[in-house]
Amino acid sequence: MTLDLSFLKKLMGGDEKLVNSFVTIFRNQTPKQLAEIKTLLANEAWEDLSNTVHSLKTQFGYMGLDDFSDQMKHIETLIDNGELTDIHRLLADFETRFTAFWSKEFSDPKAS
Amino acid sequence: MDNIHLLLIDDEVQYSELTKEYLEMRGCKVTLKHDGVAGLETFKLKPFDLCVLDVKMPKKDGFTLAGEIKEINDAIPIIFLTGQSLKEDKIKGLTIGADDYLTKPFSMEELYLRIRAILKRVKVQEKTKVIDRFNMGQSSFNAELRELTVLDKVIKLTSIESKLLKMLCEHENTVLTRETAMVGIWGDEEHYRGYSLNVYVSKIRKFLKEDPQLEILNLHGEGYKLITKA
Repeated sequence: MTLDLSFLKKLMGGDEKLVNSFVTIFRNQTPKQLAEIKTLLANEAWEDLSNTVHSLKTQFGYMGLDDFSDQMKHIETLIDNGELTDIHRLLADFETRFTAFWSKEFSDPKAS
Repeated sequence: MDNIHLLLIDDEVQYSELTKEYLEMRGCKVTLKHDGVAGLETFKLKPFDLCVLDVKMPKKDGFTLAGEIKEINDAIPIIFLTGQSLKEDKIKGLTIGADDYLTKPFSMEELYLRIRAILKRVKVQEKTKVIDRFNMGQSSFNAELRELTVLDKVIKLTSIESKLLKMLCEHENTVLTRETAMVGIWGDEEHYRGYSLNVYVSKIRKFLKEDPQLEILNLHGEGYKLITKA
């Protein structure tokens, strides 16, 4: 998956300042939310976990990262329905994929 | 859209600042709160033209908050913002009395245009609205403000109390049937509403008891009659 900001630009009415602010928040907030997910999962704090996953789902949607957004939506639905058996595995799978994406898009100084 | 004051409640602390910024660029005044409890307190303190509420929030979800806001002012327009695209959620929101519903991710411009369209509609409604004021006995009732004045004492009524008293006033000296009252208040005449209706009639009686000219009669098997004595 690669980052394409055209959808975000459309949502922000073409306002470059808002787009840049959004991306900045996304870059700062997402790693913190991923760390938070690990803690909440370890503590089995399901309601808070659902809220954080819900938040990520929305932000991925804005960033045009539909695959990640769909993954979050699936996990959120399972948590809300109390179907917790696969949550650890699904979040581990997400982390692997997302870490690879993040390294490619944001860790390489040339990328963004 | 000048002087439009919006109450935006969204738990996404940083991202919601961008929504606020965009709406301010379009000329709106925006008060932003990040949870339902703080949002409700703010709503009680200042007049707003429209509320924009996120649905999934900690402490108090948007649907619960909307219900409480509507209890204070049932004419306030509400737009829900949600990360869910479930049809059930949409129906629930609209049932509560939301004027519109936007699924995240949404376009900032679309939000602004929907706010503008709703406020335009409200303005037209206000122009054509008949002000609901009643004078009976030594009392008066402003249904719009939900204010009952009994011998110069002003009593603020809840939404349901106000709906009931308005119907009693509209049926002054004639029978207000239990069925009409229940449908007018709750939209249905389910059997279990009967007890609640009795409770609300008792409350209205209590409010009016200082006025010697007014009485609410209980007509067994029929309903109620607000009578004015000479």
